[in-house]
Amino acid sequence: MRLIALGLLLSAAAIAAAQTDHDNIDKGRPLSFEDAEPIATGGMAYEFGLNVNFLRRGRVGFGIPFELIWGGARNTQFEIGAAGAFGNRANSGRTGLDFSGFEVGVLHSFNRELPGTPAMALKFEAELENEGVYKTHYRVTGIATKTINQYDRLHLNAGVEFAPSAGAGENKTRFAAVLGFTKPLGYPRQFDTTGLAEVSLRQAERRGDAPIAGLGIGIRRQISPRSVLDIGLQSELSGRNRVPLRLIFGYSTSL
Amino acid sequence: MRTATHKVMAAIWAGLAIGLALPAAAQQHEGHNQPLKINAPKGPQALQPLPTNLPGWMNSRGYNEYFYKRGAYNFDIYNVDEMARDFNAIAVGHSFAYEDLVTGKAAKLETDTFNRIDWVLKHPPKNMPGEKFLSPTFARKYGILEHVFDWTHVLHAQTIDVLASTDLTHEQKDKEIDALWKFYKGTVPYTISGLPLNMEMLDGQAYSGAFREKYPKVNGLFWGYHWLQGAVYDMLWTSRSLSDAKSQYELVGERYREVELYKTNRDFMPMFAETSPIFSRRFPEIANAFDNLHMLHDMVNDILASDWLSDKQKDEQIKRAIYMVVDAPHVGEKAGDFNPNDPLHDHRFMDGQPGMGMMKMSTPQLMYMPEMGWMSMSECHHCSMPMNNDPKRGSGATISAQGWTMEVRCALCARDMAAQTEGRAIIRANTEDPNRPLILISDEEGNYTTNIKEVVFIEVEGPHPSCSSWSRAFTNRAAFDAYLQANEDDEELKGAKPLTLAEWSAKSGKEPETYEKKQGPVPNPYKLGGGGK
Repeated sequence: MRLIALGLLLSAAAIAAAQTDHDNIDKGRPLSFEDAEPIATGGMAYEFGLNVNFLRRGRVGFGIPFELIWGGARNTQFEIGAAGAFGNRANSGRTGLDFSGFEVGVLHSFNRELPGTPAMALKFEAELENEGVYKTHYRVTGIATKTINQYDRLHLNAGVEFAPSAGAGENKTRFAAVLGFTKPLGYPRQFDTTGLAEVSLRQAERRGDAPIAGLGIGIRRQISPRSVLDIGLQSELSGRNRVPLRLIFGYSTSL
Repeated sequence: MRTATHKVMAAIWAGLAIGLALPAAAQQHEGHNQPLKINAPKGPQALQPLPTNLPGWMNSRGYNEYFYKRGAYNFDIYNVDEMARDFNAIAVGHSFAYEDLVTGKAAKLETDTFNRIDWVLKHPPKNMPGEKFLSPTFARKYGILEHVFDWTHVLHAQTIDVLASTDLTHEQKDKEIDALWKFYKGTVPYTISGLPLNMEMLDGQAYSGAFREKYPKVNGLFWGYHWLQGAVYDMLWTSRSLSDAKSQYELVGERYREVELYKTNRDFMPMFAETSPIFSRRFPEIANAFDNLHMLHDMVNDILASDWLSDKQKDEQIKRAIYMVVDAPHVGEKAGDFNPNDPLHDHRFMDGQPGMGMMKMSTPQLMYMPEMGWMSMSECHHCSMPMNNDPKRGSGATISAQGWTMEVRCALCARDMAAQTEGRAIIRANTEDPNRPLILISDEEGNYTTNIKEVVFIEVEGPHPSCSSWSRAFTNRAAFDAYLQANEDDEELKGAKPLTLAEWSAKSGKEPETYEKKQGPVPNPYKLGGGGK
């Protein structure tokens, strides 16, 4: 599994090319929300990240997520990704390099934004079990994007996660919602940067634990016709295994 | 002997012209060679209803976006970085104007909006911004139109990428541009027709002319963008190296930024074949699609600028404008088709130029070109002899000056026509080697720089029916000698000496005895009192 994931990461890195736009927002790049617009039919994008998690008691951990997005059908995108992790973890004592199970997803857009109607999409995701460390779980998320103040946009991602193999004392169904905000920076003279902010709330894994609330800010910057760099900061304000501060770097490109 | 030869040549030309014209005329519909009488009343009473048979995609609510054709050439426009940036700024210019028109800022279009756009044109962005993000209100209201614009802009961008590629041979570029057209038409339903459409009819709607009258400066910008979008094609098509393209763009870009963007006295939008006749002849469907796209821009501008239209009427008229220029109403029709009773289906094109539809009061033989007057696109614009610009013939040229590009039969015609024109010029001339066209760029004093250092010319001036034989450019002395040897029986070429660029450019020919100033039915069909309005 590790070799496959590493291979995918390296092969994707070698093929960097094409048009990814700083205005199109994907989950994880850099914050946890996305817009309701799918990638163009036939398009393909690669996204990479490096997350530095500053945990409580001075511990530090790292995440290296990567994802391939493909516009495999009209108004529909297919995703496959995985994430590596090393260093300290928020929810386990492990410190070595390991990879989560592959995550696959399908996002379908129902409509673009119309006067008075937000753009709407629905996304199904499945995170597959890997070496017994990560358990399979599923997510369904509704996504709505609406423009406000002419150029700014709000993005609501609200969903539910199903964890059929959750252990005793854990929630098998967890609700989560993120409200994202994006604003083009530099108008009307610069057109290559988007600022992002989010407020998030999700149900904890353990039954009875307080929900995890989070805040985040970030920017996405077009660095070439084909690629975007992003940087973000997230903070989880509550929750047993919260990550007080996460620094996120990312790169997206398309073929 | 020379005179006798030229008389024979002239007789052959005349015979060919008559011989070609007769069978064509026999097949043509009655009135084919007459200007179509188009009634173009203005105002609410003249508003045409929305057709009831709109294609289904025109009511789609989806994003329906498709990825462009993959190729190693994508984004090679950045090989000529200055050109790429100018095109990036065009995207901003289009978007800002549209967004302000639909957000209640039309009153400041000629001031605030113009200044905002002008700043960007003078400081063009490094990367191409997404137009829908710059004009979100416009995209929400007219999403289908945005799709049509975007997909055809992609064709614009990709054809330029191919032409700017340093990896593809000229032959590969030719094939890939054909492939891009097929991809453009075959991938999505919302494509612009490649048929020549009657521009007078499209510009003769109830709302036509409103934008250019109310907002002449911003309209000038739009037409300036469309000038550049046409002008770079012949520039790139004749370039065989990056240096060829960059040296030409220095002049083309300067003209665009200093003159073409700020013209407010154009009679009509720049037509593609007026700025890139060679590319238009080779790819007439693409040239026609770009003209039709630019006409759609004009129609949309006029609709949005017509305050007497309600929002619902604007929405309907924009859909109707889209409908007129896409394939739906033209199914089964082909270039050359003509229905004298329905100008929407007038697909005649200019003789010698299949990439250009009928203009105001034009016939296939005669059109009015702003700043040039009435003219025929099948004749040399210097000596009025029939054109044949097949590069394999080794003769023929174009001159780009003062914003126009004209075709001529020989090197002398090109040089003399350029000399008669104020300002700098680019001459693109065929040589004996189709893969090595000659590019001459003049300064204000008429001194030329060349892309072929060893270029030599033959010039034994005689009557113009045979000028393409006695005035030519060669890539080197050996090619000149080979030409003389291959034509050793031609008395008029005997004793011809090779001329260096300096010698050739210092010469000046006589006024061609064959030149005929064309006369149209009115002096200028676009001017009040000229019979055009």
